[in-house]
Amino acid sequence: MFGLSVYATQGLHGIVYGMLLFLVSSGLTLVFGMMGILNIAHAAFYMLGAYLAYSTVVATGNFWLSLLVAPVLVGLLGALVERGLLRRIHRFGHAYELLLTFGLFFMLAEAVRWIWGNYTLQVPTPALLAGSIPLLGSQYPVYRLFILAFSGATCLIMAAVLLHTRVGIIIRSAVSDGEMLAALGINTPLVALGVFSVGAALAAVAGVIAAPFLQADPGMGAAILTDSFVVIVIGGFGSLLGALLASLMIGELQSFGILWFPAFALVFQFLLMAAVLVLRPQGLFGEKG
Amino acid sequence: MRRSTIIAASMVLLYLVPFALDTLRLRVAIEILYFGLFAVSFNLLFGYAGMLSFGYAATFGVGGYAIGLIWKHLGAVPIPLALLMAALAGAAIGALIGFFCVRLRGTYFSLLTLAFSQFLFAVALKWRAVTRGDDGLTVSPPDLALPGGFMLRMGNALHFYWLELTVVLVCLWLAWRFTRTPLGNAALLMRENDERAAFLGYNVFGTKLVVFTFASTLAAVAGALFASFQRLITPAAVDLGTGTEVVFMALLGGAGALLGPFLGTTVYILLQNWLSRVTEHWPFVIGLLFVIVILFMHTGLIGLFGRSGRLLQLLRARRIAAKESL
Repeated sequence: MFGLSVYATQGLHGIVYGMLLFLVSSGLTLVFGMMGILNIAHAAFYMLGAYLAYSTVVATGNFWLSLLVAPVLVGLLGALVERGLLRRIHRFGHAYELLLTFGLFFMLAEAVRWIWGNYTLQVPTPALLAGSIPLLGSQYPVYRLFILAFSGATCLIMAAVLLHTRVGIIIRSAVSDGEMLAALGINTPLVALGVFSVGAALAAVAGVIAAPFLQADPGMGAAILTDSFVVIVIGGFGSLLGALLASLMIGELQSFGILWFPAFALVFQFLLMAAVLVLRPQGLFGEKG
Repeated sequence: MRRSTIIAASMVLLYLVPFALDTLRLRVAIEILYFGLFAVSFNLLFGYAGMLSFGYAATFGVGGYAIGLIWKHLGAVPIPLALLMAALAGAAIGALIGFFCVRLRGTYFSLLTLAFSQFLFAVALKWRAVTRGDDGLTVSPPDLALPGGFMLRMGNALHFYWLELTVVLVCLWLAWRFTRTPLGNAALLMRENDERAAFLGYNVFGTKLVVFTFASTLAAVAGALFASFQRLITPAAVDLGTGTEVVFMALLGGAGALLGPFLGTTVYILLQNWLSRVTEHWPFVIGLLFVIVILFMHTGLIGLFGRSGRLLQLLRARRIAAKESL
């Protein structure tokens, strides 16, 4: 019923969205693996990234500058949240930490509406990457290919840091056994602060990258929130490889779901999430039961 | 003896409250009643049994749709019977969802409840033949003839308030009774440490499932009252926004006491009514208040009052223990 090029384009589109989703989910899953907190405010950090990109472009006309501004500001905000708020209530259990990030998400989302208005803002595609090129039998926007390349590169850098540096080893150990790590003399609260803050900065980077593609929209936080939940459940809490595969799965599922079953595209991913939680709560690559 | 006099007097007072209110305020009072019941039932799950549901709107919506469909397809079923049927529908869906969810703990539980509620939201939105999708299902409650020839007219806010108050009081009494049973005590144990509870021989799965089902039943009644008063039920009743609101209302009032969430609901709705006239960004203030309560007042607003229930004392004890262990 559709030509081959439609499938190819749709498939590519799924990968692009999937990689964007991975940028957001990677920070979320790392923080969960380390601290046991499902940081709902993470989606607000992503949204802040997109809006900061808009403001940077409006103020300076330079899109690339926002790739520096947004992660730095949001990373600082993340550090503040971890140090100033989350750590204070750590001893009351994860449920209260979860509720706190929930309240923060609510506040930040409304703050964005307050500052930037309750409507979609257009962030222009940088001139360097505007336009389309012929690809797989149709015209494909260059910017989406850039998203693909950029997220792919980020993913590789992250893998290199985690697998081959001392910091990476410490972070991986913190995910698998924080108490043991602390006993070995590592300052685990500092590691947690760093990971939380870098995770927030990554979410902001994803927001910046997403801005010319999805525009800055007050509803974008809630939209990515549920998607990234599904991703980290399917991939397994704390697993980056799982998050990568699950992000691509969800990207494709949405892409083709909209093509074939527009009415039920949304239902699929939640059914998938429910199935994973019921049959294999640790997810595809998670370790904890 | 004196205590029961106070309770009886305050009940009579509650029935007379509407005479002191204008129509607009009466509508607010009606809203507080059904959302209050909703929040109290949420807290049976979270405050008592330690299960934080993110998809709690699911059974609220089921109750609303159930009662709408009952009147649409079965004709003028008297409202008490219709409410009972809606409650049963909520119990059935609650037992079904609970069967899958209560095996999981912590965040996993929260996310699975979210998945189920999103699924129900999609059903409400897309199964147009039954739910009428986005347009919503019209709910038309029939008037109720009371013995003695008095007609309770559902179109009359005052009459609706009396009916609703009666239903809510019965439900609150049931909830209170429930927390006094051995099963209710076992629920507390689940929250404190379900592993140890299992070692002690408690049926963790069974206990949690019963609490989940009971809470869902009360939520369905609240949803049915909501739909009857609004005369409309839309997918919005099942969405994440409703699920969020109930968490705010319950926690604002305090998870440590049965009526804490009721207080929270009252404050939430009054505050929202007032704030939304002052600023369109009222959710920010509510969010801020919520964060402050989570940070500094574990026992919620009800913790400000002197007399405290067993649960509250337990929370305080834990808090002191946590401070000492620092």
